[in-house]
Amino acid sequence: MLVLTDIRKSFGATVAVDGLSLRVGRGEVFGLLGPNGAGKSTTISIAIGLLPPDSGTVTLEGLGDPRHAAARRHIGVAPQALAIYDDLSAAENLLFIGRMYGIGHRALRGRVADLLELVGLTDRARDRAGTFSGGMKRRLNLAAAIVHEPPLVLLDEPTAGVDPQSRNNLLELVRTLRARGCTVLYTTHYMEEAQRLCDRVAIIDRGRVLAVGTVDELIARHGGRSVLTVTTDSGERRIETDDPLRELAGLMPGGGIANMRIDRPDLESVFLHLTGRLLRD
Amino acid sequence: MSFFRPILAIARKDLLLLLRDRINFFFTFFFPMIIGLFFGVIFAGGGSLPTIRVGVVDLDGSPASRAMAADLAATDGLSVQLIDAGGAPPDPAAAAARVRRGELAAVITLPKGFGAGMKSMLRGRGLAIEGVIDPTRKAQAGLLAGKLNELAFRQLSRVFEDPAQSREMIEGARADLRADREVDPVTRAAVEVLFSAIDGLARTNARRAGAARAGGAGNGFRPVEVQLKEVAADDRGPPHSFAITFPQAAVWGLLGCCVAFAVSLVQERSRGTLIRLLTAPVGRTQVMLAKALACFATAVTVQLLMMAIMAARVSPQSWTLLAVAVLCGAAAFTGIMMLLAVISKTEGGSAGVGRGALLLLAMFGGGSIPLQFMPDWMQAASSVSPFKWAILAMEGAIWRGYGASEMLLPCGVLLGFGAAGFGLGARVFRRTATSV
Ligand SMILES: Nc1ncnc2c1ncn2[C@@H]1O[C@H](COP(=O)(O)OP(=O)(O)O)[C@@H](O)[C@H]1O
Ligand SMILES: [Mg+2]
Repeated sequence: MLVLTDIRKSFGATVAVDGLSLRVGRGEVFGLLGPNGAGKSTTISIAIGLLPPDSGTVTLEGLGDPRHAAARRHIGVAPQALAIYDDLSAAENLLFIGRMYGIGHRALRGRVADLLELVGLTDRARDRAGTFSGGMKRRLNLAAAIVHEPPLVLLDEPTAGVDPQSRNNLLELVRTLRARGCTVLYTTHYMEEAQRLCDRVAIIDRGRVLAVGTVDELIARHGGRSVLTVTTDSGERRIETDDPLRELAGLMPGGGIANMRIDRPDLESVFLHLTGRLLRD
Repeated sequence: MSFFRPILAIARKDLLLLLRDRINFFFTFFFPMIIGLFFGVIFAGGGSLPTIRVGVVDLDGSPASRAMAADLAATDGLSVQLIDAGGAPPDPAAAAARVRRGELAAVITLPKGFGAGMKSMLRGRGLAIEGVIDPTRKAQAGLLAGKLNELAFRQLSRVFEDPAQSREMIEGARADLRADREVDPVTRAAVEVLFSAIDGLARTNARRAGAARAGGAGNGFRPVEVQLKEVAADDRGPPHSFAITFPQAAVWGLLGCCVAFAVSLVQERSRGTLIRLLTAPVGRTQVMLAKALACFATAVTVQLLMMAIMAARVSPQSWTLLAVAVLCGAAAFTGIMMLLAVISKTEGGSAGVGRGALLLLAMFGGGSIPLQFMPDWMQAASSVSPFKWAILAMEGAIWRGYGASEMLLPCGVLLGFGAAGFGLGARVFRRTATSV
């Protein structure tokens, strides 16, 4: 659906994207996981044709070059900044965006009502967006990205700064989009989100893709071993292992286990292994 | 999709946002209205601007000097205060001190013998009127001197209209002539003839005046025809304070509107909504044209609103030229809005820098102190301010009596500002990359 090939982009001396290649398949939720400043937003800007790359190519399969208006109409974007008008109501925001796509008035009304329902803002439809909580604004921001029912949706940190409940709601929304056949490129620096949501994940840092795969693949390849911690009469033991259950079974006959914990590797460990740093620092 | 539909939709959205933004709405519509009304009412005394506060010291106390003071008091644009020391002889020096303190713009002294001097006019002793005027009111000094001349002649004409007084004057002059030994006989004869002629004229005139009074149509004899027309043309003043304060109000409205839309364009970028528009895809050109359209419409509206309020008191000399002035003003500030929008990347910056810079230009351009009250150098320097030209264009159509050719300069300058601002702003706007 979306293919980025060897994209490079610098801002002065800052290399924001450094030879990045990606292939997002049709109908998948593809996660771009990386710390702040990794180049996620820049990649999105390039993918939608807003920012010309210094080198490299962007292809939208079946849609053409995103730098051309015709191709761009098939993309929906929810920018990291809350791209909504505070002094318009939720419904007015969506109606306005719909008009930008030239959607007929009657069709637009119906669609806006459906969308508000989908993001749980029906009863606040007439309230100004400025009065919304962070989570509600995020949901409206996402709704605005899909008014024109695009087959490809790019969400840049759609859960930044929201409460856990709104986060769940937003993640559920993304699943709904996938169920409807949308392709979603989803950037985040929260590894739990990528882990819960994404079919495939690219881990990026300093403008480069460090690894791509399903969450399980990434963990298997780069996560390292699980850590089994057991507490016995003689104290605490920490065992690194590929198969913590078998290890635990081996310890059982000895008896005297007062407590135990298994730390399986996650995307955080993957990132740590790949970069020597934590995702959030 | 058509090129213009998104432009109209964005412009509509922006107008809606302006209506809903209390601060910008206030500064675009209410603040100017308040300025116009507030200063309009303050300066409205006597129905014309500027009212000059003048003190009159009457040291003579004759019927002629009292009539002169009354005539001064009845003059448009003068607010006259008779300086009376409560029985004691009034003190011109004390009155002059009040000018120094700024309480009065000028003090006119009618000296002792003013009335008698009036009657001895034909004997070569003119009327002596002394005045002190605030040195910062040079422009008004001329106006005042003209008025005094005019009024002095009016007093003189009263003398001629009164048969008794005019006889007395001529008899006095004859007596002087006879008493004067140094006048040679030929001159003496000639002047005698002249006096007889004046006497005859005065008598005829008195009869005619009496008849006219009976018939209701006055046709006073004027001893000297004074041409004050030139003075009047130079000081062709506004008909009402609103004619000054509402063009000012209109430019404050232009300022508010200009800042509001510049900020809204900056916000479009900083909030990320520009990304939505550009992916829709709406072109940058369309976004700019939409902002310009909304700004232009608002600028026209606010100016028309101010002109409509003004029209309650002042009817413009030419509505057509006023419409041209309004359109040119709107075009200028639409261009300036575009420039302002690209000067700063942040909303705060744009609003701060924009309001600050425009405020200065507005004050310099006559938005606060009317242009005609500024010192010459400041009037010249104020030409850099588009506000000056906007005011000049409006005033030209309202009361300055500009013809189409005289409107060319202010309107041309305004269109120049508009084109330069839009050209520069659009260039930068189109080149500035937008990213998520
Ligand atoms: N418009 C820009 N001008 C200069 N530097 C930029 C610009 N946009 C991004 N950068 C820099 O590029 C790098 C990547 O930024 P970004 O793509 O926003 O990262 P992320 O979205 O992953 O947090 C950062 O170092 C950032 O400071
Ligand atoms: Mg980002």
